[in-house]
Amino acid sequence: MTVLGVFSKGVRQVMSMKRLVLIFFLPNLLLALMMILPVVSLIHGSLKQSLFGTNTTSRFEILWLEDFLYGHGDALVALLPIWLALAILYFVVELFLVGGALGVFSSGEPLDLRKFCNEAYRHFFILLRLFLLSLLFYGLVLVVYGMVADTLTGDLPRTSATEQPIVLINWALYAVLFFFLSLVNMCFEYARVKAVADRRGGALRETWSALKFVMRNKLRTLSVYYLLLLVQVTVTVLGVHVVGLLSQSSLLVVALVFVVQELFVMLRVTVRLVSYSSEMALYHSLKAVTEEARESAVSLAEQLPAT
Amino acid sequence: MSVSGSRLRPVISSPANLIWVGLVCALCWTPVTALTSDPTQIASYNIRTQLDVSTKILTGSEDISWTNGSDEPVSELQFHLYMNAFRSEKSSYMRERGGVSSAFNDWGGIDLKRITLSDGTDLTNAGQYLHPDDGNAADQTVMSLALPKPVAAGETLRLHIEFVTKLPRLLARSGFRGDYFFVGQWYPKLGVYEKPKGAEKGKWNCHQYHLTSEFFADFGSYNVQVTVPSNYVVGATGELVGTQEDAASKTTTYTYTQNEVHDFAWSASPHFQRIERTFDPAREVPQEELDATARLLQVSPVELSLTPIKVVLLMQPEHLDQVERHWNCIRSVMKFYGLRFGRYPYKTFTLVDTPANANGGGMEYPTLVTTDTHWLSSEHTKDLEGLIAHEYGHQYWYGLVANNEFEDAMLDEGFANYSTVLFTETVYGRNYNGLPLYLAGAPLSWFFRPPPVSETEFNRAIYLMAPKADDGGKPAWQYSGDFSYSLNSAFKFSLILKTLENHLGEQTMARIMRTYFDRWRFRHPKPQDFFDVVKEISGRDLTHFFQQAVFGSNVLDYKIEEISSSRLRPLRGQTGPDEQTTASNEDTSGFESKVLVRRLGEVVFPVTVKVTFEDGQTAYTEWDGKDRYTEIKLVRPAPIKSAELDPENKILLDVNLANNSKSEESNYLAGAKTSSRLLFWLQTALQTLVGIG
Repeated sequence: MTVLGVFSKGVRQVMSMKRLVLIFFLPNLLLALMMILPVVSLIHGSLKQSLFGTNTTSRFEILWLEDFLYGHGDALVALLPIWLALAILYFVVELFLVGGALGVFSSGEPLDLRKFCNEAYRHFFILLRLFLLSLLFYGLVLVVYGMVADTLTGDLPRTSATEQPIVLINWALYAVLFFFLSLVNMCFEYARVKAVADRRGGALRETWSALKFVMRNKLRTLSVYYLLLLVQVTVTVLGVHVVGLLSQSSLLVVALVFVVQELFVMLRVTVRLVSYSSEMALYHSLKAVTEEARESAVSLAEQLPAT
Repeated sequence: MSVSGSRLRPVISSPANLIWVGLVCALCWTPVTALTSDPTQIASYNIRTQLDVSTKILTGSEDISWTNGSDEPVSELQFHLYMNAFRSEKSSYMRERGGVSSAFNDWGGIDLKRITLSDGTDLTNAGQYLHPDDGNAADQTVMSLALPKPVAAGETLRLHIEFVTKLPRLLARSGFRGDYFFVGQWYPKLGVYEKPKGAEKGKWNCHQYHLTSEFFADFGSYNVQVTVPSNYVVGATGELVGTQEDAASKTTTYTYTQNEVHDFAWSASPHFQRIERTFDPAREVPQEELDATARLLQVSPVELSLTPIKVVLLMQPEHLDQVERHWNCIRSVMKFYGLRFGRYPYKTFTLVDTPANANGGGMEYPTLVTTDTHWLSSEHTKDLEGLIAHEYGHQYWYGLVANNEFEDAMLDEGFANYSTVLFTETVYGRNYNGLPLYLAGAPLSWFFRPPPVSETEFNRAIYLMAPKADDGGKPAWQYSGDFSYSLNSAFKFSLILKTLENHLGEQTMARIMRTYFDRWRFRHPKPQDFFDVVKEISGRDLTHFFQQAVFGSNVLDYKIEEISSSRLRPLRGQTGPDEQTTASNEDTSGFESKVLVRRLGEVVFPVTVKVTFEDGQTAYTEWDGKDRYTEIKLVRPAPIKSAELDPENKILLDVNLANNSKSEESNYLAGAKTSSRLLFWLQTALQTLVGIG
């Protein structure tokens, strides 16, 4: 299957399960609301009856932000542990839901909520183990990067009279770092796909297996991954840019802009699901090719005369 | 003592008087001579130095003329030996810095090899290190030299010093980085002998070199010869008056001269690209601008005449594409400050563009500044312009109005910041962002347009980070850290000046600044001298405000606590003990509105309260702000709609501008908009987080 074929299959599959988008979107919205609620009350308290609010409707007032941080800095710092806990909770919930989505994509059947929940529960712990293992790999990449960067740049920051070589070397190093971090990310995405599709346990085994899969199919796996990453980044940048352009001059417009914002969030969720679905489709198609090739080899071997 | 010809003529008419003439002439050979106490000619230096670029050593000698401008004899000299701050981790500077990394091995220092008076008296071993600030016996940045004979009031002492200076690797301001050298505070420099107001006796003002302090010295003339390898390009304080190449040693000697300055710094690098421009007022200053400034200052345009300045840019090769950007800013700021504050009196100005990682950008010396920029730069991020404006501002505030940077740092840092505010907000307006927003060496404005942040907003943001960290107006090294020093000296005082301008009006403030510059250039003002000028020009005594705002750590915060309206009703009561209760015949149509204004902070400042009514009418009330609260009562046909104190946002020191107003109607729009935007960013951040995992 071609890269575009995999991508379009992923899109079709997600579009046939639109409720899945809602299932992923709602925790994002709810947890973000929980995080923001205390801050909202502080913001409203500051602006509700102040004429400063009138200025802030037409453009963002830096002076207000300075005041707000000065007056509520301690309260905001006190919220940080709660935010961290909620972010972790969101991550755990998302991991749970990913197991369900991958299970549904793997089966190819229409979305059934009971089956979704079963799959999510069934695969949660392997996915958690894979996540924890991925942290080790990310850490390893960062450590190696640090050592290589130090060796390559060496005394240059201290002795160089020009910024140009330092900047260019750093850009090259950042590009290499990005590549290896994204490679780790991609490998673990396929590890998740394989763990769900093949219904096997063993985080280390799945990681190794995923790495072999990626190495055997470098071009296609990398192409699908970076294509989807590009789509994701484009949607994010577009969303930030469009939302920034909208002038919110009345409560009605604020409500409309809120809807537009949430649509962009849902679009990002959709792209994320298309990623999982496309990767699952690619895995299945390449696995089928491998099995066909194996069967052909076996049948050919059976036809050869015995010596 | 020098004798003028006119005084000689009647004296030599008799033989007896010839003896007196002879004695007078003999006195001319002593190291002590009489001279006028011209404040611009107190400490003059004639210095010769050679730089060995491989050992980083400067070998030099200086001839100093020092005039006792006080009214009493002085029996010792005190010198700054700033470079000894980098001699070891035992110096006060290094201790305050917390030492250096274990890899650092390029120490500095200055050794005085020989000290003699002009009559040959050897004082080489007469020096003694002093530690007037912190008692650190290991610090060698101040030296006292006892004199065999006191210098009488008005007399001039001449002495000769041979010294060797080892330049450190650049940690702060002065030293080397690779083959780039910045040479500041490199020679034995005299402190300032002064008699504070009200003191019975004068004394030397000669502080140790601290992490957060800068410098203080007397004005004089400098004649300096710098010898470097011939492939090095040099820039320095003053005018280049001579160049002599020595082919045998492959060195070149540059001679610089400058009168009426209190320091001399120079820089050398084989990589400098030297670009010269001329600020020609005839070309740069349009008549309309001249006339407008003259009207603002209430002076004749003739008084605002400026003189040409030769501008030397020593640029790094990788910044050559930014030459025009540098020049455009310099010419603009030279015009602006020249018209507003006063004529820049020198013929030259040198800007040293420091190399990357040099730790020396953003510093000022008489007629010379250092700046730094990025290889990749964007016109949308005006951090370079803000820096140039600030450092050129120091030519006025520090260079010409030469405050004691140890004790009164706000008089140069605060003024330089305020000058930057004036310049950037006038020239660049609202579309200005001076924040250095770079990511991996690339300006963030390549990816998105940063929101405008004016210099005033930036100063206020810094101030609000720790407004109570320290009392202001302290000696530089007594602040609780580098950040507190910067906050109190530069950012807070700049806000105070801007608040003052808003309160007094642009014209009055402009006249204050110009008067202060005119009166105190080539002199050493104290903060009270500035406050006196404010009082004189504005006609208002703001001593109380200055005492609280400048020298304390109290904050200013006024609040509209409550607004209300009630319909007027006839007031009931009895006109006499046996009478029935009746209502008065007063007009009861309309509303009585009340506004409760409260002072939450400790700083007192007069405020204006604007009250708006439902029918669109407005009323203004002035309150002196002294009590803890005031209640304003107004009777109008319509009820109150809103109340706002300081409606024009003049009082930038107010730490909470949001509580300066109150409205009867609740405005949910601003809060909803801000919250909605914040929600979107949070959702995006959460999604990115799970994407990584």
